[in-house]
Amino acid sequence: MCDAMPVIFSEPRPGDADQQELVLLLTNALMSRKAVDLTIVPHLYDLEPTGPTMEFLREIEEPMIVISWLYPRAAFWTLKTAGIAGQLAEEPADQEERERPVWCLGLHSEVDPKSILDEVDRILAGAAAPFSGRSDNREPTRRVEDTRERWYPVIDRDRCSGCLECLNFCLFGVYGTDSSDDILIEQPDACRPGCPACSRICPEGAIMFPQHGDPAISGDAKASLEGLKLDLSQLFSGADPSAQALAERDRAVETMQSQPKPAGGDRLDSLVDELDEMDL
Amino acid sequence: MPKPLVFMMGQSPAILPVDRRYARNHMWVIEMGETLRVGFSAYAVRLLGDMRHLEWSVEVGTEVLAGQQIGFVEASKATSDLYSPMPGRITSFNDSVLSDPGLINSNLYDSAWLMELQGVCDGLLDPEPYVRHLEASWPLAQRLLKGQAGRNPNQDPR
Repeated sequence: MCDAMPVIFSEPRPGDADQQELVLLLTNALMSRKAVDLTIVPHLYDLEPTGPTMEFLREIEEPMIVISWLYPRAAFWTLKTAGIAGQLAEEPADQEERERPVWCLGLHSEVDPKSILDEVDRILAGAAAPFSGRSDNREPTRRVEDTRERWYPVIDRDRCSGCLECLNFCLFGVYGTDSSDDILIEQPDACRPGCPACSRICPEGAIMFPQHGDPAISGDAKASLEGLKLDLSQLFSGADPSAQALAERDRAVETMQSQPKPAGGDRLDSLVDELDEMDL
Repeated sequence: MPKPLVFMMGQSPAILPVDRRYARNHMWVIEMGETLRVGFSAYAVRLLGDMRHLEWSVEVGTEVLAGQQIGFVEASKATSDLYSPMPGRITSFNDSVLSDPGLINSNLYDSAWLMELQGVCDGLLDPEPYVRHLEASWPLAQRLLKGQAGRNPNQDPR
């Protein structure tokens, strides 16, 4: 009999006081549950696959819960790409499945903490064998690792059809193929921060950018793929390129004014600056 | 037959036969007797992806202006309105590609032409100037694509 279930809690990126408050509330509540073996890790998406935290996660063999600031699908495939075995579990009964179940629970600033704790309790209650419970009153384990904010595609292998459109489309050499000609994210950090274009190009909706603001791109399994297609009418009208750039700039400015600034929002500033410098 | 020109779209070559001229809106035009036959350039097809649906909003016999909107295309990667590459009178649409738009992907410079017009080839580019046009506009086209691809209609708080 295990004493507790591993629960991995991914910290948010620094800087948001509301998120930090939620972290404190949830981690305290989780530690009060004796059937939880809590480990706090840096933001999951920013971890290097070869780093010590991913190495630690690879060594966990039993069913586990991962709570992160990513959609469950994005969190799961981020882990899977780093070589962490298992299958994305949704129901407690999934503990009976062939592969080790990994429950991924998504956080965002407006999440109701009770819904996360209820889900953890539901998973713990559905465990194949009841947990004896930790006997200690220790603090959660905290894995410390230097990270930086990263931006790279995460592939949902259940959706990917292997068409290699992304490989052909990407201009930055992010993608490659393995010896079986399967798509490979060869140089993730060559990806252009803020650019999710290959995600829109993918006919299967298999490419996620977990930090993008559009749920269909950041990994919401329920988000519609409709409306993701590019409208190329401007290009096919034969419009003058400078007019296209101006339209792009106008759109970027409009986007900045009408929407909250996303985490990677600086790219819009630099884009507009770049276009200004062109002296169109 | 003379060797076609190639424009590299990132790592993907767009093949451009030299036996025809090109419009700035990425259509090719070739003279067929008294009519001018029009189709998509490989550059256009590469950006659009697999053709799924093609429709015309004007009828055979219509006099059109250069740049006039005449139809719509939906493909795997993108959609676009379609515009006449030059002024003239439309004499026919290719029924084969209307019933099977996928032909455009397999035979874009030959049987998968789009329409025929009678008109004047004003403002068309020979292949080499068209390649220069692509070279000059490619960075900005990329910015347009990436800018649109980066649009963010449903900001999520995470």
